[in-house]
Amino acid sequence: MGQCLRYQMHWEDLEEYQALTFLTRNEILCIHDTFLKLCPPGKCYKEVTLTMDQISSLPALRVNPFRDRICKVFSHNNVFSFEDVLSMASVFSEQACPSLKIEYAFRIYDFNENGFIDEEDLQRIILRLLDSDDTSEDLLIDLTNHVLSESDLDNDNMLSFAEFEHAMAKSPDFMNSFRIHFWGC
Amino acid sequence: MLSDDYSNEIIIEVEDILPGVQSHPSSNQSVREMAQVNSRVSMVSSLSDVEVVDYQTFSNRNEKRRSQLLQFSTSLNNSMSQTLCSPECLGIDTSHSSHETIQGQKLIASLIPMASRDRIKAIRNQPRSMEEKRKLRKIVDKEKSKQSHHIFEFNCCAQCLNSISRAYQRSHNSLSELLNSISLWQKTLKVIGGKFGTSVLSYFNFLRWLLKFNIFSFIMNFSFIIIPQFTMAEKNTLQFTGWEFLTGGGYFRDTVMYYGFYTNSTIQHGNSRASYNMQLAYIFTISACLITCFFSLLFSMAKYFRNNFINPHIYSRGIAKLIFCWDFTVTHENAVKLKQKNLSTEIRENLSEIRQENVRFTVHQQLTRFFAHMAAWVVSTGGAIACCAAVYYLAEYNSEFLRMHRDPGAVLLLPFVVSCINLVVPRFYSLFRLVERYEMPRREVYVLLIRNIFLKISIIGILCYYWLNIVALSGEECWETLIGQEIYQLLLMDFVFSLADSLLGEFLRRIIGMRLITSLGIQEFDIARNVLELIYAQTLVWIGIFFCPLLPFIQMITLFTMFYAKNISLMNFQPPSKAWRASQMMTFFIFLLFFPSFTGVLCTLAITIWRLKPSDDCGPFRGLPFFIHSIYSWIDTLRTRPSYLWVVWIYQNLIGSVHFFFILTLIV
Repeated sequence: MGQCLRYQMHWEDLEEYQALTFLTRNEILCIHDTFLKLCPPGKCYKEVTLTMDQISSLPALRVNPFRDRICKVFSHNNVFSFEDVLSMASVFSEQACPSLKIEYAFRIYDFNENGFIDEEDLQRIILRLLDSDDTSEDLLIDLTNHVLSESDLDNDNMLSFAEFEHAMAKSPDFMNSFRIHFWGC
Repeated sequence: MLSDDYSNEIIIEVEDILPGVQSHPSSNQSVREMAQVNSRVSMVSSLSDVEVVDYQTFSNRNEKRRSQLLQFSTSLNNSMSQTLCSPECLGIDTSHSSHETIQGQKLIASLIPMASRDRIKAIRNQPRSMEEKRKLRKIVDKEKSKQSHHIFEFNCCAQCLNSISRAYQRSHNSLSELLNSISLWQKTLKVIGGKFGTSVLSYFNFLRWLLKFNIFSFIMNFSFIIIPQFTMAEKNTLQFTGWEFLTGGGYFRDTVMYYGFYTNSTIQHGNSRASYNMQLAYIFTISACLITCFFSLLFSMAKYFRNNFINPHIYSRGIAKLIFCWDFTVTHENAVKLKQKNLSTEIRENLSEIRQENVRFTVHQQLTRFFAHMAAWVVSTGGAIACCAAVYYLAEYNSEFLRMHRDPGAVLLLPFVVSCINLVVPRFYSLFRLVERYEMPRREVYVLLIRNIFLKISIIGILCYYWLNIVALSGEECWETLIGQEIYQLLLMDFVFSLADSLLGEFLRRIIGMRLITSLGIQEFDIARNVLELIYAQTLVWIGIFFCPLLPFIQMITLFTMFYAKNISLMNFQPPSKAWRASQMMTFFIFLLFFPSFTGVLCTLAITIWRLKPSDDCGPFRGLPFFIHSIYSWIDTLRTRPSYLWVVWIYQNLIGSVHFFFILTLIV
């Protein structure tokens, strides 16, 4: 615990964060607390950056199969500033709008970052989701083909953002499951 | 949601020309700039249309869009620096007519004409970092304030409205935050969600939501009926034995708990002219509770239907859904491993289902399946009808039985039998799946649900019929209190059974599953059965609120205890294995709460109030020919007073007329 005080955040900053994110006042303050616990002593929270490992070890993300992708997508230059953490919490909060969630889900699932979810991405997703000892090569290819046949509308063997959006936008389960509570309080 | 869709347009459809931008009364400069933007965009789009071929269009356009977004920060910085250094124009650099800059300009241009609340919403919905959003907001505010100098739009009235709306927004925000902070059980629910996922969490949320109804009803009843009655309370001469908690009779009969205790007089205190008419208070308070519940249910249903509309597309067993809808809320390591295992099983099952789709059954097999289904339906319906008949005859025989056995516990026979039926028969229905085979396991869940619902609704229906037709007309003294007592007994017995089941039964089941018959394994948390039990109890409470005004308080205690009991007994369960469509099922359960449950309650109460004769010597409506006559006589007294004629007018023209209800039904 450093010398950073809880109420170091100015009122105007708090108002601004409330306006620009989907988080409530209490949630922002709780995340501020959590952030301060991880930052080194003596520095202001606005200048500190956290590494991806520190964020990955947060209780909310520790066992998530996609934590490395989440950290990659939301960090800038492989570090997290306080505002990056807020943006991440905002996207994963309950009040976030569906379009934002779909946009970031697409970025998270796009492992090779070519702007599409192609077969390679799908295979990596499936390996993360299932027990990797149990999944044979055939099952992987079978599943990949099924997913593409269901969602790929222009038959280019990859999912573009529009196709992904079309598949997810009508699924309320997606909105409910794409949520993480970052604040410990 | 309109502004969300609007902001989506900005992100996804690059080539669309934004509507409404040109209608904004801006300065000539910006109009020219807008026209330039639009023409450039159309030029660019026509270029892109020319150079692509057929099915490549889709992916190419998307690729361009993706690269635009990824490089947006640089473009935004460019456009911002251009705007800042040349304040008069929107800073289109004609030499780099790249998509990025144009898109940045388009975004800013589209944000300017919006109202400030919509603008903030649109900026919040952008998938960009905080720094970019902040810059965007600054630029747009700057542009907006510049333009407002030219346009004398903000006269006093608009400024007033603006400040009022801002104050309202701020108070609304702080109120909702306050409500969130005092929200019950936040931490516990988070832990449950982390261990079991969203599906089990939905059961507990439903429980909490029902608790709110009961708290509200209790507060209304307490303030308007019970407290005034306390001031007029007569001394209770009956003896208190311990049985009252279970039977509700004895000492409790002459307390505020039951209808019979309430006075029919007009309470007046000392010399003050203010009087409190107990009859009207009683009927108006209960109506107010029920009307509030009605509208609250209606709005919740509308909200759920809007967010989770029942799309037949969802019923398909898609693999894509399973792959992409991983539950991110699970935060315990064991739960994650378990979820992975369950997901693997479900994916394999879905794959085999898809493969089996092409398998055609022979005629013989089809007939066998058809007959199995028919037999199961006949048995289940017959079973439900048999149970109802048993309950009815038992209820009729109950009075003789009570005369023969003077034991205070003897009144509990009927509730005991009903609770046993509610415990045993649903489990018996679950056994049918050994005989019936469904192609889709999902259909099995729905069929089971429908059978259970039919059972519970018919039991409640038959009991209401018995109460309204037999007990009310039997000529007993104070029949309303008798009905109140029976409802209380049913509720309490149901509570005792549920508690025993949660704490003991499930524990035993786990021991059996783990040690004795290991092939059974640990059971899954059956959300449907538990939610149906909640709906059943809540229906009883709503029916009984007229006869026993303290019932919401009892239900509050029940729900509170059940929350903790279920929470403790969760350790005997494993999370549901199928990807449970929590959102859809919640919509369905709220609909169930509204349609058979609440509307049934309304019908029952309507029959009571309009058709039944109150008992002669107890309760607030003693001596009247019908309950509704209290309202009639009140309207008559109001007719004599000229200052209240508007109430009479409302009564005659709205409540008394058929057209109003027709319109109301249409609106609903």
